[in-house]
Amino acid sequence: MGKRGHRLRSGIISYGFLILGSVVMLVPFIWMILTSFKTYAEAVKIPVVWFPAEWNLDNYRDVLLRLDFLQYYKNTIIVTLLVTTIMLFIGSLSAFAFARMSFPFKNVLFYLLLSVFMVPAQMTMIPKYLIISRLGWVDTIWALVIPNIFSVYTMFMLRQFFAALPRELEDAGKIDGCSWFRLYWNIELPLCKSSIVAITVLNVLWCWNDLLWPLIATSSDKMRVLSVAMATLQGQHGTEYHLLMAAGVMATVPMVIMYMIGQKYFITGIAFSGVKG
Amino acid sequence: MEQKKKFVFRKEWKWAYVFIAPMVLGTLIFGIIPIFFSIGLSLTNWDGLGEITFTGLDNFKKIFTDDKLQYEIRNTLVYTFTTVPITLFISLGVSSLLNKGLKLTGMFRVIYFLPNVVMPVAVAMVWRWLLNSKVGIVNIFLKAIGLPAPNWISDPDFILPSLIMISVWSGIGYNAIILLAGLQGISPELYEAAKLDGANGRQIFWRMTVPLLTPSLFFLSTMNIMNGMRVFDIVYTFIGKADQGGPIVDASRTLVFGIYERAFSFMNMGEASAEAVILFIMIMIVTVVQFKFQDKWVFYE
Repeated sequence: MGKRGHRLRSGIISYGFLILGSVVMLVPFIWMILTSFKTYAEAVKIPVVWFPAEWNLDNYRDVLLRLDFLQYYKNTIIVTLLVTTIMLFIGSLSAFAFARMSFPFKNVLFYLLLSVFMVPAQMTMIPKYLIISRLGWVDTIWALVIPNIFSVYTMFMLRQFFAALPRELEDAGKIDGCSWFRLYWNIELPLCKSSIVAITVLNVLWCWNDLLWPLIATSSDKMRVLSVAMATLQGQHGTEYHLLMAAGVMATVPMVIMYMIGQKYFITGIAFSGVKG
Repeated sequence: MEQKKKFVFRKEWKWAYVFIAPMVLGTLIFGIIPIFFSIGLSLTNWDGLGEITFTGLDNFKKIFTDDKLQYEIRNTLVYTFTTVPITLFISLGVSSLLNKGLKLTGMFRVIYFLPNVVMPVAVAMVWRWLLNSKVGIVNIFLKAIGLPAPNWISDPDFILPSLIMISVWSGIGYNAIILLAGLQGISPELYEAAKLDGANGRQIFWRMTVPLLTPSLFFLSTMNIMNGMRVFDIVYTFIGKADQGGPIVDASRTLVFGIYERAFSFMNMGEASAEAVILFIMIMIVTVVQFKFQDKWVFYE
């Protein structure tokens, strides 16, 4: 057994482990998808029926129409779009100011904002709830959107990117008589495009998947988002696995598609958050 | 000239304040003031609607004699300090396999990361189904190969291990990607040099690669521990509405679950805030300890 044989063997072992791991990662999803097309009887049958006798969409229709998931979809999409767009605007505007402009108390204000990092969001959820209830926002779209649009994390990340741009941009802008807002909007923001996409993708994911806040901030059916709807469904129809899995597929698919398309951005976003910490 | 310069500066200040105003005000209202509000509330008795009465440290005294809090602290710590090392250990293995430059590495990376993009509620839901003691495929598989098939969800001894297993499963992808980025940052010359010195693969891995990865490992353990102490989604989905209580709920309730339950099931804002303060203090202690000990094991080049 020469060096080549050794390398071949280690290659096979590596592939073996990676494939085994992939199976463990994928089986739950495959099982979820298969179950979502089955009837209840097929889903719980022993011995296991791997494939449904008939690939029908009844479960999906049931979940969408009878269990109102169409409405929850709409709510989740609206909330996610609003939160991530406004969050990005507020975050990048302040990031620009902190990175590129000088003004009194800049550092004090910056560290004041960063102090929020130290505190887990779960610690402040009760006062946050009390604030929105005082404002009369409980169970409205405002409750789902407004408290979530101030992302110190987004601000902090984008500040790093703005700070890395060359100083000459301001000088050129000033000579042209460019306003600060135009400097931000037309010149510097477009230069951060790829990092903005990476952060936005993460924010979309986070907003779409969040459970605790919507659970607290909304109560009616009308305002329910997918995560809450799924948890409720689990509570009410805990054993109707065929329906639960159809709901699971539907709540998951948009994010999986986004991930497949924007994988590059996910990985850079993730890796970046790791490197910079 | 002097005057003009001053004027320009003022204008810059004005715009800067306009730009940061939404962020600063929003963070004050929804981020910073609530911290103090929370501490304040922990010293009162309040149902969220009626009168607020100041009760000093009564809430803390009361919840510390409450069995629930003992369970919550125990479960949260057991969950966190088993999930995090197991996840890191497996992720280290996965990332070094991914770093071998094999074909299909990109595909493997996509697959391992997949659980991270799926809603935690959906993850918990699928696993509840997979772990069903009678019709779940995990037990069907275990029985088929002749292993014991426990009641993962309805046995108080197994519910927490089930939650840990699910969290490890879903955490590997994220951790492996961060570690992979760390591995790719190690220069190939170092490996060459180590090989020339006659080190074998295992020695290179444990004596060189792992020490060089310690900054990433430190970052990940800090983040994972912080996230672990705040676990809620999968617990809530697994045990559902806690009104019934019972041994299963007690065996899996965590601190954030407890805060949620006290505040929004029992409408006891004071006790819930006291528990939130306890969570905060625990996270602070763990984080401070980690940073204190980092120079014992973390290498910075």
